[in-house]
Amino acid sequence: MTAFIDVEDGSVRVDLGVVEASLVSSIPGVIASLGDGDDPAARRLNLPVAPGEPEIDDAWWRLVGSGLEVARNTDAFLISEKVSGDTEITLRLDLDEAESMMRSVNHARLILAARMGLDVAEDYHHLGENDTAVLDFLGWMVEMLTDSLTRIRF
Amino acid sequence: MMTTPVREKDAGIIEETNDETLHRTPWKVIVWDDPVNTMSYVVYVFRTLFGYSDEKATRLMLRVHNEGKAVVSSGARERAEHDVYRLHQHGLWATMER
Repeated sequence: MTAFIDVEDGSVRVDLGVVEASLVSSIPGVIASLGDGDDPAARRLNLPVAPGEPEIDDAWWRLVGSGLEVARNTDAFLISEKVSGDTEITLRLDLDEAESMMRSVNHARLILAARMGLDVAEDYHHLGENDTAVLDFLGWMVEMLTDSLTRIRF
Repeated sequence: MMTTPVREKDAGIIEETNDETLHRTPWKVIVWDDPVNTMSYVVYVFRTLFGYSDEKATRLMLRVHNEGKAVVSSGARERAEHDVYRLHQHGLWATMER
């Protein structure tokens, strides 16, 4: 099966072959693996939100930091529920489910890119073939989910 | 920052302190450029979270891309904190300042 994402009867159809399903099924593990300050992905996702205002920044992270983690894991849970990873699959997602998958794939891409050392656009050209293949496929998924959701929502 | 004299009810003229002036300044929510989030994804997030038109969302996305950052909303601290949370929830690099 060739990977395919499009709007079908008001929902989002997602076809994944075995290889793609295996990659997507690993996303919840990627999200859950987010470490502490030594993890470049954690540094990317936990940046100061109020530069120059440490008290406000601390208060914001204390108040909502765990909420962000819960939101990321909730989005990833949808994938673990729907994609087993050892077989090709066709999903039909409603708007909320498709948005959840879009955010989760995007977060996985951010985490992996940070760990690959992708800090500026030029870094992409110094990545290995396997790394760019993963980022490109996840990027394609985000683009197709975004396009499908744009057509449904707007 | 300059101080501004203000009239307080039945108390004559007082001089507003820098802190008070700062308190009355709206917070700006800023989205920063990054090499991972795609352009169409950023436009979708702006349209969905803020209700912006495709044209406005695209203009803001291009400002982020070309100039490195853009102010995407402004208002009271609570509103700015909420907007930053929603942007982070979508993986965008957002900060707030006044």
